[in-house]
Amino acid sequence: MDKIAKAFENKKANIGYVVAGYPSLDYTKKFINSLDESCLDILELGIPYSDPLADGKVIFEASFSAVRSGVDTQKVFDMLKECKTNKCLVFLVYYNLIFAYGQEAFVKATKEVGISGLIVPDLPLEESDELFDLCQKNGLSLIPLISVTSEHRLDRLLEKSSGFIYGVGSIGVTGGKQTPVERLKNMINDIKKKTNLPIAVGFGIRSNEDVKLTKSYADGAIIGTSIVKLTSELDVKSLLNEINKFFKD
Amino acid sequence: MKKSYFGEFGGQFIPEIAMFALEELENAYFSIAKSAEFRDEFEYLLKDYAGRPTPLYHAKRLSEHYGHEIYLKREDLNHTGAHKINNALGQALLAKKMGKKKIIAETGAGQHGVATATAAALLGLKCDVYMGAVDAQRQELNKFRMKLLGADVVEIHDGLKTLKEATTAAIQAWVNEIEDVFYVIGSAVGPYPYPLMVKDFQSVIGKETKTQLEEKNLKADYIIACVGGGSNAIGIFSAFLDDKSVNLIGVEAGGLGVETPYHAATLTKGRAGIIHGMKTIVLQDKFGRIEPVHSISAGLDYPGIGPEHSHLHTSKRANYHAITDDECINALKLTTKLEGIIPAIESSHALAYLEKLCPTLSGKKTIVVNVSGRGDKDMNTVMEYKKGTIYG
Repeated sequence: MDKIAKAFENKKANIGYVVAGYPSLDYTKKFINSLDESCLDILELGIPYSDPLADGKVIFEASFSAVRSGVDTQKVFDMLKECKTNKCLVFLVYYNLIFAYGQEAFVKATKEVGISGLIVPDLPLEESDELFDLCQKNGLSLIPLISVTSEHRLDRLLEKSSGFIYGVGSIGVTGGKQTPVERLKNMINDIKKKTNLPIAVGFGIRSNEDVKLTKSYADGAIIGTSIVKLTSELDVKSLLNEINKFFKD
Repeated sequence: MKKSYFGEFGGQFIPEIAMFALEELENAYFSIAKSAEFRDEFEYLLKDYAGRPTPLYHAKRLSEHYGHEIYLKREDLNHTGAHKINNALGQALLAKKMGKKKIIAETGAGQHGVATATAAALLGLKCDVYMGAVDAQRQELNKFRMKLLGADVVEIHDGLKTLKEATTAAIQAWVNEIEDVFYVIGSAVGPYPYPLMVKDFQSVIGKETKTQLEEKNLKADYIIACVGGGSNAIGIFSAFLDDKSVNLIGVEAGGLGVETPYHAATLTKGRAGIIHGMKTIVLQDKFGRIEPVHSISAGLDYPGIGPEHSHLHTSKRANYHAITDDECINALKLTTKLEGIIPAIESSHALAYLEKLCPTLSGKKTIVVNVSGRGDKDMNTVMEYKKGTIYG
């Protein structure tokens, strides 16, 4: 069983997001090496980018700050070679970083450093054929983002989906206001009718109450902005404690 | 080739959440904006409101100066002072017909912001304009005009605080209100169908130029236009793309020189990548991070370019050159002194290329320069200009 499927096996998955290299690569390395002690099942690792279009202010600034301090795609790969964890890691990466690295080389390097899947927030279905095929060939999942505005595109989207479905919980960028829960539940029900892939919801989830509510109707909850905000304030151990509080049952 | 591409450039690289809005826009563009009723209304607004057709003026003294026949397409004479009004009226009218109540826009030099705020006032739409804080400072007059027209100007303090950041913020704001808001993109950039639609609304420049040349019994040898995103250039080029005897030249912002890090010469120094929803040529580093850009011109200060220009560049149908801040200011002063026309700093880049092109030509050539806007907005920048100044 692959690591993504294992993360959802017989339980609701806890998923966190951090920006690689923020506040430093050393910090991220320590964080990943301590992941086994945490309640996280999946860690989304954002490769820092100069123009993270789908991100709100907090992640935008963390990403921009990491770029300015010299963190690049290669340094993220190099760091991961020195990391060890049993938990599932996926990349959240903007498409230009993959394109610039070379799609095939990027997918191969990603596989080599133990990453299980890719989330590419600015690569819609219409442009994803080549990357989807490369991921399939190399045993990586290309995890789609599906939102309440995707209704009439569902069939087409699910044809090119693997790993899990990233349900977008708010209309807007990360850190924004959550879409009314009833609308999200309808979205999840619609998706469930058409696929067996697990569905985790992210965007707009910032507290333990939000996590509990999300897990009542989805297969997993994703917290990004609230964790990134804390990475600039806390040491790794304290951060992991706070993450455990976010996700506690 | 996919319908959303020009050669290998174009496409739709935006979050899934906004894809339905692009489909909605594509449907509306091909049904509503292509209808005879829409075209009649649009043409009426272009004529009676914006003041078209703009003249194709024979610049006698510039012609004497350069030894060739120089004609200026006077887009600066449009209502609000630039070609931007053509596209803003087209998109705002489409937004209104789609039932949208609010439009948003990004702006660099402020001309697209002013044009969009104007169209919003005319059509009774709410309007937010996103503008980098540095641009808001160097284009204070346009910021005031937008506010007077009833728009909310949202100043962006991220990154270099110029057009790139304003565009990113506008896309994010659009996504935040994706079900209700229409995003009026100001240049021939962004995801399909924007580059195609903006070209369509700006193609009036090329059509008029072609007719006006025919009326004067002339044939253009060269057509020159400045390029940032490239809407005025694609607008004037559009009518001549199939006529291979017409040389098309785009002029980008060379800043302090393309050999320095301080420029916005995308086609001269960039390579294929993705920015703001499109695959195009982009100024970026080895790993694909977008590079900071520099230009005296807030309107050309952009690390990407419309995808059709990338295609015209790689297919060699058009040629693109860079002009420095200093060369631009010299051209602005020369045109003002010889013709009594003060061109915008953006348009002055196109005019500056005459200095390089004309001495290389044999015989007497007919050259059309698109004066995309007027320079009133730039007077502070010109007054304070010192060679070597770094903007932003």
